[in-house]
Amino acid sequence: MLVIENLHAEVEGEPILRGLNLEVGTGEVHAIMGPNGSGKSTLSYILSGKEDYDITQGSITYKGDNLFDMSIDERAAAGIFLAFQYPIEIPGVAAMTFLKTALNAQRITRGEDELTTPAFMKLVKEKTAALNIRPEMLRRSINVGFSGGEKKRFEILQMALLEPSLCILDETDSGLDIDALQLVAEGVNRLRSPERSMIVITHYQRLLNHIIPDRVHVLSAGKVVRSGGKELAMELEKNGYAEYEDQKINAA
Amino acid sequence: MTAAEKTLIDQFGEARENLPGNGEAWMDDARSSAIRTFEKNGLPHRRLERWKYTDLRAMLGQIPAPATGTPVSDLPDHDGINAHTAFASIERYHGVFVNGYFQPQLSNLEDIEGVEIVNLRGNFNNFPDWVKAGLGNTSVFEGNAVLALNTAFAADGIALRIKAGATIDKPIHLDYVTTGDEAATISVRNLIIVEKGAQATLVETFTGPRDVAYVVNAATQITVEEGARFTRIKVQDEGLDAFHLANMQITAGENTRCHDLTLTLGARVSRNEVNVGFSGENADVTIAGASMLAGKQHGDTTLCITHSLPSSNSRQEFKTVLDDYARGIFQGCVIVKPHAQKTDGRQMTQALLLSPNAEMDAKPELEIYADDVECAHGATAGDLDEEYLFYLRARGIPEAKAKALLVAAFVAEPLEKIEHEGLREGLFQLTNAWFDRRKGEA
Ligand SMILES: Nc1ncnc2c1ncn2[C@@H]1O[C@H](COP(=O)(O)OP(=O)(O)O)[C@@H](O)[C@H]1O
Ligand SMILES: [Mg+2]
Repeated sequence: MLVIENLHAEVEGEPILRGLNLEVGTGEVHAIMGPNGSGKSTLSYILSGKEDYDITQGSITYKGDNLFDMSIDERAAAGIFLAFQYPIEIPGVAAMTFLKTALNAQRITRGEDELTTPAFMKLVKEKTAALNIRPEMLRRSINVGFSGGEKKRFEILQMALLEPSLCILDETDSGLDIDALQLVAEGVNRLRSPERSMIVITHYQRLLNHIIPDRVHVLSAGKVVRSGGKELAMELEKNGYAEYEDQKINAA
Repeated sequence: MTAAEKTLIDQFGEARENLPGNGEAWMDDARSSAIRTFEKNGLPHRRLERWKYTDLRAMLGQIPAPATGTPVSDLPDHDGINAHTAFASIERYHGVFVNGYFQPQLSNLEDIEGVEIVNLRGNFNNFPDWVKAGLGNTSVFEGNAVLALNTAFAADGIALRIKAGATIDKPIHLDYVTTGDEAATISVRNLIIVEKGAQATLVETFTGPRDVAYVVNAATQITVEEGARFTRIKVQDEGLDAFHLANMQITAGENTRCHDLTLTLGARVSRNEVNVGFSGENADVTIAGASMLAGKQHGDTTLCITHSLPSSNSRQEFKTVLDDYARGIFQGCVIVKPHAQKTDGRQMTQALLLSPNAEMDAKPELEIYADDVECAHGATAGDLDEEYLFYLRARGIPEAKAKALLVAAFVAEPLEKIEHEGLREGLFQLTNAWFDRRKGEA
């Protein structure tokens, strides 16, 4: 599904990713953990095509294609989805309009027919119910007046509707209470399938009790410094990131 | 005097005897007084503060001849007319003007319950006093050359009296359609009185051919009496070579609610001037608008709200989107006279610039002579938020579509406040379509 080799990226001459390697197979769930500032969000933004970063070395191959040849919206239509760490508010664009436009735009890009309004409404109804989202919420502008938990659930709703092949969740657990976390984790688990891969970025092991990963990677100072099975998450929970913060200083 | 000014005076001499009301002393006086005002001041130019950014003397080189009425036999029927389509599916009372002339056979304004209608082409000596008083009031064009020209040349128009206590069940839509490939100057004058406790919504739309440099001079005088509620929605969607010069004067009475919204989409050069005065206390007046301009369009919005009496609220809320080489102008003034205590006046103008070559000039003005008032103004200008664009594109929405959504979102706020659902949806249709439509036209 995804192969990242020796990825180096910088912002205004400041290196952030420094030789990152990662391979995610189809149907696998990988967790990326690491201290604040290690480059987790940067990696997720680069995957979704944000233009703020200079890629100085390395390659990313997605479903066999060079990811750097694809625009932001082409990547989305090809199945890459990033659930943002900080979903922004967009006044004036109704959430419902946005969902319908996005879904149909992706379908058109893929050469499929647009969904009719009734078919779309039926789909939304089904997905909102599962995530405990009030339909009235979707009449508001994107994320405007949403609580922190509602914003995160709205991200998962988008994911559920768009049915991507590669889901990237950037600290979707942060700021959620235990009930909200449970809802979100259930939403994510419903999407697990042999055709779909996931990268779950988190600072805490907590989320990984609900979404059991196949692999866990530790990101520190812009590269993967350790990889292991789900027990690595437990170890990190116990020992903290101190060991990896040191590596950051050495690397800097 | 410039050649254009000379042409205008000559045109008046020739047109005069065919204008409605010729021979009626009160109308003759109004027209003579208007042309004298014009002769004295000429076309507005940039050395006048209110016309600083829209130098008509420089811009209006050619003055097309006054429009003549199209013979009825040459007109299409109601369905064939290129009337403005945004509100076509709404239940409404429809009044159609073609090249400035009211067309009763294309309209259904007869017998609206609670409304008295007088056509300016009608029998002048039988006009009721309220029409004579309104049209004969020459004080309104003091210092306003465009309004003076309108008074001199007005060839048709409608006077509407919404009778005391009446609630008009459907919007009244005045649809001004310009046709033909010969440029003409169209001068329309309307008069509206909303009597005590009445409620009405007026819609005015302007359309015309592209590639024809016609001139529309439209003036509307509105009096809203005690306790009345009045909404006006104007859509200026003229052809892209046209000049659109508009004046609206509103006088708001005690406990009235007046809401005006102008959507400016068309014309090569447009000037939308709105002046608001008060005849009572506790009035609530909103003058709002959205302008969406591209190519070399020039759109000037000039407002003045004069609080001469206490305890009224006024709101000015304008959004401007500019692309290519378009230029937007917002001049908004709020004057609070010494006795107008407890006035609450707010003004906000925001611009979205889609091109580095577009220009916005915003000139807010507060003149406050009372001490117990709340007044505020704000002006912003910026380009499209890259973070918004990224969010939408990251969900698979192509760049152009994402921009179109964000542009429509930018102007949504004043439109959302329109209570009539059909009208609100019609307005949204126009703003949603703008981004794509402009590419084809500008
Ligand atoms: N657009 C940017 N401009 C400047 N610095 C940035 C930018 N994005 C990220 N950084 C820096 O890169 C480092 C990694 O940031 P980030 O990827 O957000 O880390 P994480 O998500 O792991 O906490 C931080 O030091 C951050 O300040
Ligand atoms: Mg982060």
